[in-house]
Amino acid sequence: MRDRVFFSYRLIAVCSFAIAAWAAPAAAQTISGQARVAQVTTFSALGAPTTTVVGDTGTLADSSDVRQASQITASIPDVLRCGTMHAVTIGWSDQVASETSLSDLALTVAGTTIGADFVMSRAAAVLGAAGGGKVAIEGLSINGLPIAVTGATNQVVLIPGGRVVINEQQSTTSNALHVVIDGVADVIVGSATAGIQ
Amino acid sequence: MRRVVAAAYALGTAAIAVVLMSTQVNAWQCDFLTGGGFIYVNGAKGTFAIGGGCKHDEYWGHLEYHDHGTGLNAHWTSVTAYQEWNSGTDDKGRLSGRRLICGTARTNQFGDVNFAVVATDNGEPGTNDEFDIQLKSSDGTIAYSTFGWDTSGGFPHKLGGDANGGGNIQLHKPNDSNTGSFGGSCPAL
Repeated sequence: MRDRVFFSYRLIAVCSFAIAAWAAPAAAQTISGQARVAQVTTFSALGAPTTTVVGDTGTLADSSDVRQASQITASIPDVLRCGTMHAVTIGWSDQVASETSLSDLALTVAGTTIGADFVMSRAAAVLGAAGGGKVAIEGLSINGLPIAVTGATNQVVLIPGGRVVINEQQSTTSNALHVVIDGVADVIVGSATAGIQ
Repeated sequence: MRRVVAAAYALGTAAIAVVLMSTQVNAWQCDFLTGGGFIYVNGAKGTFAIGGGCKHDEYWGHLEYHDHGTGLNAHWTSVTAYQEWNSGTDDKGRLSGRRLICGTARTNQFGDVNFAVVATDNGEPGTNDEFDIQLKSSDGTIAYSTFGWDTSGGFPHKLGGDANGGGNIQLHKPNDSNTGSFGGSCPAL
């Protein structure tokens, strides 16, 4: 009888340890997910930034969250106009996926005009594996000249006073277009973030 | 001896419960579809953004659509259905399949309408993915459709290849908010 009781205690102890070990990684997990159609930051003469955001999902609350934003058109006067846009971010216990797309982009930044027929950015993160981002841009032009999108990450096109980074890949964020006019404006079009640890 | 049997019985019951819960979580359930891109309808571009799924026992999603030829704009106001038409996996084990997403939308040409979207994820890179849309007015007449009447591209409209479309449709596995099941009403069909 004593052996059987001992066996039961040992079984319970093993089960408790297994449950604790199974539960521990979930408690330590952190996720980040967000998608934005566009973010425009302009700087005053004194360097004070003003940021306007279009089509923002906000951040994932937890691994069971799903968030969306969509509009048929959007504009920021004198800077940005686009249509048929959406942004989505989805969380799971083992991954995060974010996506944004827009059409008919017309962007004017410090006299430089940038256009695109279609822009899409996606980011995915999987627990325990390398994440990644994908960007698709159709009909990109800068100041009326067609720009070939090579598919390479962080493709840079110089423009007066700054640069356009195409397919910008950061640690957990994929930006389709990032326009920087030093000291004047910082514009990100098609931004998807996905991270999980 | 009775205590040992009782403990073993309790553990066995708990194990069965865990298996049943796992089965419930892993069983095929309502999922998500998202995508954006463009198709060609009668020679003109139709740009779209689409989302569908179930969230906390309600249908979830959105639709934005613009026909560059006719000037039609449609912006979703509700999602009333999300149906699984077929499901599978591609050669890399990723989800693929076709979904029906329905709801109501506000348009600039036909007033408030019912919409039906059939979207298909045929794997990466998305050139074989498909998107089609139909709008029905409140009196039941078809106000707009890419379900076969147009002569360029034809149904289903692909997002690449000879159809010259672009973009990507993505099926996503269910998450913990996917309570509810495929279904719903679709007056636009």
